[in-house]
Amino acid sequence: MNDDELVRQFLKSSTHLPADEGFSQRVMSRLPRRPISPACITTLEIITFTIGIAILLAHVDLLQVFCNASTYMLQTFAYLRYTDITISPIYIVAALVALTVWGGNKIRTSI
Amino acid sequence: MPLLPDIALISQVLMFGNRRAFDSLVRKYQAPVRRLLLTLTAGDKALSDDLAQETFIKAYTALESYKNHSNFATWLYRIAYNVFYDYIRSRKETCLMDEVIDEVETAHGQELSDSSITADINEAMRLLRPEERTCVTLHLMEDLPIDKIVEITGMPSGTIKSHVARGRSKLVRYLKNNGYER
Repeated sequence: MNDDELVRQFLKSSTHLPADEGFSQRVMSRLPRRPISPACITTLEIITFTIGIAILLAHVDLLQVFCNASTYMLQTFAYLRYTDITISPIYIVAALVALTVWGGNKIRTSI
Repeated sequence: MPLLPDIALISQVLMFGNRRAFDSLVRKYQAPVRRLLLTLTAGDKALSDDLAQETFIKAYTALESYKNHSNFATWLYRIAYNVFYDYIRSRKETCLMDEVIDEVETAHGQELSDSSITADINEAMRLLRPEERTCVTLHLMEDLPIDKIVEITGMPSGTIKSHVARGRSKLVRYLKNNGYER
């Protein structure tokens, strides 16, 4: 038997560890809460956005009110009250997308 | 839970926060991680158990950073190695690790050794420097190839080989002096 085998045999002669059923329980009880994964947040964003759009489209009046209110706010903030700028619903949808992405990022950075 | 490949269990933890999947990983890898830390701490069961728990908790919180380039066991060994050296550093006695271990052993008394062979292994391990002990344990006890030990410890392969050679010759001397050679 060479030196290498002698040492290996010696070291492995007592390496069996008895199964410790309590070990995994102790580990599991100490685990911290996991943050929501980015994939889950993206899914939540898509669901929220879809529901939001569905509600808006189902209530055309509400969409109209929302468009008017947005136009007024934009005009006010941009000092465009006296121009004849009109807001197409596509801009509202784009604003919703931007708002959802921004909100998602805020959630992601806050957790 | 049926036996799933590691990557499937890891995906379940990451995507769905499935704690049972992580429990399966703990059960699968607890023995090698505990054995490594038990040897590195020269047989201190209580300390090695704490460090092993710390290893799995760190693995859980850092699971996103696991890339499937190396196998999960190697990744866990690297965490265990870092947890052990963090513990030594936290005692501010890095260069006097053997003294730390001796101190802990004195405190725990008889519970440290189960049998005379275990006691002999622990005694022999205390003759090695920490780096030698790490390399000898990973290479000769866990049968890991040198390139895996490079991944775990970050040491160059030449350094690892010389630590193994020095550690082995110290152990051979110990064995010959204690009548293990036939």
